[in-house]
Amino acid sequence: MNQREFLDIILPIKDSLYRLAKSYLISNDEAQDAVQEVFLKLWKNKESINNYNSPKAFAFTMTKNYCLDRLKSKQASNLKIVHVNFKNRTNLDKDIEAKDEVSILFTLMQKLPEQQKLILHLRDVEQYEFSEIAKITNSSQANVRVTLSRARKKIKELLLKQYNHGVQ
Amino acid sequence: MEYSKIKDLLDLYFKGNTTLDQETSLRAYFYSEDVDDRLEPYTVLFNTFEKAAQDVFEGSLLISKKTRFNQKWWLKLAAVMISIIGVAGFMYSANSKAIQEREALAALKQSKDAMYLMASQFNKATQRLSLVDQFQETKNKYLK
Repeated sequence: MNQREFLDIILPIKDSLYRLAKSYLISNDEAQDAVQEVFLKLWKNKESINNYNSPKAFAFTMTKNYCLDRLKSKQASNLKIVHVNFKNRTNLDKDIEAKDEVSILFTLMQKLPEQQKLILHLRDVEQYEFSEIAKITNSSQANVRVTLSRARKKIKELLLKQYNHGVQ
Repeated sequence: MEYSKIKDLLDLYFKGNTTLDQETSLRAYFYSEDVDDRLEPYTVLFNTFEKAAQDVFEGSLLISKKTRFNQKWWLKLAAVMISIIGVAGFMYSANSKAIQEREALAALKQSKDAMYLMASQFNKATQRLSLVDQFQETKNKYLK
């Protein structure tokens, strides 16, 4: 893959990669660092990217793995406090409620198994077709459907639980 | 859209059987103001997805910097090589000078030793010459 192809294929998905990283790392800064890091790696290895079935899928997998590595090292060191909630509490503006709701769902999503979370993100946030998701996750379309359904049902269950607690 | 239709769509959604278009209409419904009370809990779900999808990477990616580095790496290499050759050359010449000096000193010592040896041989020889004188004297006594 030459410079031109790299800019045409990989660069446009930087926002998608960012959103994916954010769904794992929660923090904006951490997600930006992750994307930056992944892009440097991809750029350095751009000659060999063509060896993979889909460069796009490769980029997604790389981002996911990078985030998981980050999370692992963060758990080990356990030093940083990074959470959107943390920032929101000091931030008294109007859409605090909306923001909190968003972060509630994100925290619920963290409870999903890794594959379910990834597929739910790819489908409901990125709105990819099943064929594309299958490519990225390296599984069959039927499998993606099943996993997605499980993820959505699980989220629904968690959400309703949370919602009922809020009401009572 | 009426409740039953949305409810059907939701059921399909949780089974993982909705198309992207159907999901878009679900999102649109929950984004609108008049959501049926029975469906209220799902508002968060779809609005969060909608909101999360609008998130974009801010700031700039630093890959061009890397390019410049890649294009000029050989210049750096050349500079390093030249300085290495320079230093090595200097060291070598300094070294060889020392060797030459040492060789010259050794040669001087050798030739000095040779001279001393020769001188001592000369001295021995001149001592012996006195015997020749004596021989001459004795010869002259009888052969005159």
